[in-house]
Amino acid sequence: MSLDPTDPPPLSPVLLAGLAARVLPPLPLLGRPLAGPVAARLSQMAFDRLQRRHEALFQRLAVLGERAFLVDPSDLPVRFLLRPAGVRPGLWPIADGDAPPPAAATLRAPLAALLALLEGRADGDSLFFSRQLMIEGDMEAVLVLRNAVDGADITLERDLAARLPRRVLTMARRWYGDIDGLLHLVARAAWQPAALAVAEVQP
Amino acid sequence: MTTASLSLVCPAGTPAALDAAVEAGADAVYCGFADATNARNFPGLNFSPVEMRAAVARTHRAGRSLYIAINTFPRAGEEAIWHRAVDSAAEAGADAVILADLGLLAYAQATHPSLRLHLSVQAAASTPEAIRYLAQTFGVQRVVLPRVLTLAEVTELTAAVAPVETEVFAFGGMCVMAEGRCQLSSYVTGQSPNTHGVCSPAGAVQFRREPGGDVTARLGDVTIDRHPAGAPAGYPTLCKGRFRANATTGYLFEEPTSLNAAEHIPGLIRAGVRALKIEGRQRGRAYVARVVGEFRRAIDAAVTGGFTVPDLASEMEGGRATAGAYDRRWR
Repeated sequence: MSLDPTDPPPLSPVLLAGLAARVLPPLPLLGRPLAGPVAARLSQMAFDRLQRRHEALFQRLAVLGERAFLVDPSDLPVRFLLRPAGVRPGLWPIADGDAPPPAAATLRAPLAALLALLEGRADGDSLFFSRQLMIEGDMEAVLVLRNAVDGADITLERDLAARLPRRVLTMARRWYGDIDGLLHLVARAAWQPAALAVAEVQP
Repeated sequence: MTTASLSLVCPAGTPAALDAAVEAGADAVYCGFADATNARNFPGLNFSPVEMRAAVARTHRAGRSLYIAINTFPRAGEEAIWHRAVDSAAEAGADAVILADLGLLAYAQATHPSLRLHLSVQAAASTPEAIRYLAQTFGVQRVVLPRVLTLAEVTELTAAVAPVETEVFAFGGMCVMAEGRCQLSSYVTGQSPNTHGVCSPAGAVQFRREPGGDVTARLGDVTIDRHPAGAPAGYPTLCKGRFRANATTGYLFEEPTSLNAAEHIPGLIRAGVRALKIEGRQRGRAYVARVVGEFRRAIDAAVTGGFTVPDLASEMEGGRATAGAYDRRWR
């Protein structure tokens, strides 16, 4: 179970997609198909492309040997097994509910935070201090991964989506931003009565 | 880059963080080699000698300085590792080395007489007598002051030790123990920041989510904290741990908090302090870019007008800040 009711992820387009995937499993590319053969192929393609474009990063990660990480986007019903080095490196999606294979460590955060970490747009310690990022397991392996990734110049748009027309990327980014902004407004509005009540109690 | 007499000295644990620091307006960047010779010896962090040479070249091309921290204490019988680090720093063309150990200061002075020497905070020199001795004996030109002095004491000390320059911490992790002397990490894990370059080594740290949702942090065999999911966190160090004593549970030594002395920038300029240091070589480049950028603007504004204290709450340990000893009113 990647969504933990004791620590819900923030309201975001990713969370809505994740919730839709939970309640609408018959729709193509939603629900379990997120971890199906198509998703597996796409994940491995993305991993292979990053490996080709960031040779120095993967050289630094060679010290990890066979150690793997369970990467858990808390707002999606899918997790990923990441093995950056070893005999068979790669990235594999695991459907929610399926038992994950053994991993040295688990990293759990909303997808946006995980992507920001990957691209060096967020600081891992800051996410950890604010509990947006949860880590369990082999901390040495986590630091090797975090520090190496932070030192690399990964830009997913450039590294993975270079063949897509720039206009498509710009539109997608704008739509995501618009929906995200609306959801933040909804979340603030939903909290407003509670915030007012707290303000009345506190002098 | 400098518009003030106050130089901004910034951390870099990776080449990418170094570029971020330079881009954000650092006057100088400090780094370390990937071994026990520096006090941020964390897995996957720091520079090889080849990377360090390239880093010096890039920093100089940008018109900034690069300091190399070799600020741990050599272990008996293994001095060669530390000597090699000083040699590599000199060969790389570093603008200064930041040292703590007296033997290493003597080695650097004898072997590389033109290499500028800064005294690390790890040496805990906080009196005019100690600083003058180190300046006269080893040629130390700048002293990084321990984080235990009030602004008035910093002012007094800076005037007393001139022309030796003083450098003070302005932002980042707070070390509440006597710097360079703390044995807490060593007591539990066998490794210390002073000789292994790492406080709470990652291999000894475990976080575990308990069935009820609480998160437990352990260092070696010791549980150092347990808190509800979502509660702000700090580094898993013994000094920031929460323990039960006399039927009360609380932070025994210090609460997880970051130093933020930004409000004292005008006062530190008036005090004649030469450099302001940002802690955080273990942090990501996003932290470096944000904190350095904010401090660059704050220092420049303190000189040109319109000074305001930057809001950096999201970067802080435990989500809280303190001005530390700068504001201390007790003795």
